[in-house]
Formats: sequence, structure tokens, C-alpha cells
Amino acid sequence: MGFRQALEAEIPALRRYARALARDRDVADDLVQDTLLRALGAESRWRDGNLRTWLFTILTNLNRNRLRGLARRPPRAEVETIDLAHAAPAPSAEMYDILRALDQLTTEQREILLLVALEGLSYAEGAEVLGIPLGTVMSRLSRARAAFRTALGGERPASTRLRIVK
Amino acid sequence: MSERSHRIDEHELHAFLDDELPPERRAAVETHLAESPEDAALIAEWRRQGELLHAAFDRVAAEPVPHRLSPAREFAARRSIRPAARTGPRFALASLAFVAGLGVGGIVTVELVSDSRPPVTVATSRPDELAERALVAHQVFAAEVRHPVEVSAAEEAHLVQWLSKRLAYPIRVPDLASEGYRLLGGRLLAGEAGPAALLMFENSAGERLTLYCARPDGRGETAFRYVQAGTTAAFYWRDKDAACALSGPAERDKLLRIAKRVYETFDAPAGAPI
Repeated sequence: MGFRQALEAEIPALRRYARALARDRDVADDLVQDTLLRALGAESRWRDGNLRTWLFTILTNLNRNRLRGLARRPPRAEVETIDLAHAAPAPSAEMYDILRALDQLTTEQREILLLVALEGLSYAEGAEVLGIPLGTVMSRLSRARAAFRTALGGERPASTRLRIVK
Repeated sequence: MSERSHRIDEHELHAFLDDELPPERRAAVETHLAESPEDAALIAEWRRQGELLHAAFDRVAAEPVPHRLSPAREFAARRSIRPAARTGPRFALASLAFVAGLGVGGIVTVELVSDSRPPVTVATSRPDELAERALVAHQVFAAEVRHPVEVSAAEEAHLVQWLSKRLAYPIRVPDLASEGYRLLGGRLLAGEAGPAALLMFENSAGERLTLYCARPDGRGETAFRYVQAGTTAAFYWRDKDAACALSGPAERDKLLRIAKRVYETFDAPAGAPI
């Protein structure tokens, strides 16, 4: 499979990851487009390797840059865009809960949770994408799942048992 | 059941779920889970998180990829500015023409055609926020049985005065009697950048239309656009007089006819008979 076909095959997953990270359809697709453009620009330098993790790395970094840019600008409420073109008539209450819960994670937590739990990356791939050691992947994922659980847990009280993490 | 098998740290529970454990540790965790319903429940909970994320976002991966992201197409061109409509709804509405047909993502752009200019086709990939807010407001309030409006049509003069004052621009109530709809009343909503007004109309069959109006925001004129979400649809437009969306059941021709009527109401000079 040529580079371009391989690239094209990754677009659906990149769009899903970008949408979950950025939420706004246009912002997410802009991230994907910029990712693809960078990848194409580096095509001549591309040797065998994990194309998937490379693309996810580019997209993750572009999103971080975007968030830094937003933080520098004067405060403006971030508006949630509801994707009406493809969604059911209105987002279900459960969907809102999921989106709201995701919002409560830190960017780092959101990244690792989405990479592993949504995109199915291995820990090693996650470490590569995020540029962190394997141990950090695990601790970050553990915190992300705990935070997501708390954020989702409105109707179901979280276990009161404290777990000691070594 | 050695003592060792019980010493499972939390990272191993995650690794178990994520299929990252070597076989011998996997077996140890399995043994542990059989004896620890709490940890088993924790893993089930984490697994559910993944299922929820897939439920929320898998549809994105299933969507057709937009043209601008397709390497086969203009994808290599630098990101293009999303096109803005060049003709506004100020042109003769009598010569409305459907130009675009089915747009990307089920959005149809209806261009208003002036006598002097050729029709301009505008591809929109998604509705703007005005339409989204209007549709959501319609879905929320048109379904409301007991309190669809804050101020009823019985106090129409007060309603108009109140909403006009809050929006700081004159709200007008279109007369939709010829279409069989009468005013039910209205309410104030939070819009994109300030207050917005929602007027609700109902026909004898109990079918409801809502007119969502925000202040003109100086973002320029847009074409008359149609956006559909399930069984609900809206026509929306912006110009210097108004930023409005008319929402109702997804019957395009009928909604268009009524939207035209509404547009004419807002376009009429102040004090002119409507």
C-alpha cells in the first residue's frame, strides 16, 4: 500500500480522535487536515514505521498548540457545537453526560484515555504518541479513568473504598 | 491461590483490561478478580467507559470523509476559507431557486437569485450556530405541553415590546394566518452572543413552528439556508435587519413558503403594513 493510501486509511480514526479531543466539527477537521498536510509534506522523509502513531502524534501536538493559542487569547466562552448534520435530532441526555464528563478531564487525561480506550492504541504506542515513558502512560491512564468515572458518576455513587496505589 | 496472586496493583487491572499483560500475570489477575467482586466491578466500569466513548464517537469515523480531507481531491491545497454566500436574501425572493440540491451532510443551500446576477452555489459543510441553536430551541420548546411560551399571544403587544427591548432591535410578529398558523406567544432565550427571542406558532392540527431571532451581528449576509436534523428542519438567514431561523417539521417547500413570509415581515420598512 502506498503512502497516500495508507494515509487515507487512517483518516476516519483521525477524525474520530480529533472530534473527541476538540469537539467542534470544523475545528476537528481542521486539525485532521493540518495533520495530513504535514504528513504529506514529510512524505519524502517517511521510512517504514508506525504511520498511525506518527499521525496521532502530529494531531495531538497540533491540538495542544491550538489550546495554547486559545489560552493566550482574551477569554471567550468555548461553545459546544452540536453536530446536527449527522446526529440524531438532538443529542441524547446520555451523550451530553459523556461529553460533559470528558470536558472535566485535563487535556493530558483526555489524550491518553481517547488513545487507549477509543482508538485502541497499545500502551507502547500511547507512550510514543505522547512522548512519555510507559510508566507515565499507566499512571496517567489510571487517573484519567478515575476522573472519567467520577465525572460520569452523577447517578451512581463511586465506591467509597480507597485503593492504595503503589 | 498463592499470596502472590492477591498482590495485584491497580496498574495491572488496567493492563488486564487493555490486554497488556503477559500470560502469567493475566492468569493471576483472573484469579484475583474471581475473588474480588469490587475489582471486577471496577474493570467492568472502565470497560463501560470505552463503550460509551465508542457510542459517542464511532459515528464520526463512519461519516463520509469531507472532500477537503480527501487526498484524491483538493486536499493538497492549503486549507480553504469556508465559503461565504455572496448573494444575500435581499434579492428578489420571488425568484427563489434551489440551486445546490443536496449539500454535504444533508444541508441544502437555497440561493436567492437576483435578476442581474447568476445564481451562486454555496456549499456549506455544516449549519452555523444560529441554526443549531434555533433547532435545539425548537426541539425543546415546541414539545413543551404546559409551558411552551413565557408570554402568551394574549399579551402580544407586551411580548413584542419586551423582546425588542431585550434584543435591542425591533422584533416583528409575522402574520402567518394565511398558512393556518397563529401566534402562541414567545420567550427570551440565551443566544450566541446575547439575548435571543423565540416566537411560537401553532396551527389547528397542533403543529408548531418557531421563529428564532437574534440580533443582527454584522457578520454579513448569508443566503437563505435549509438545514435538517431528523424530522425537524429550519430555514435561516442573516442580513442587516435580522438573524433569524424558522424551524418546524421537515417539509421543505412549506417551510420555505413560510420563511419567505417571515423574511418579508422583517424586511419591510418600519411602520409599513405587513
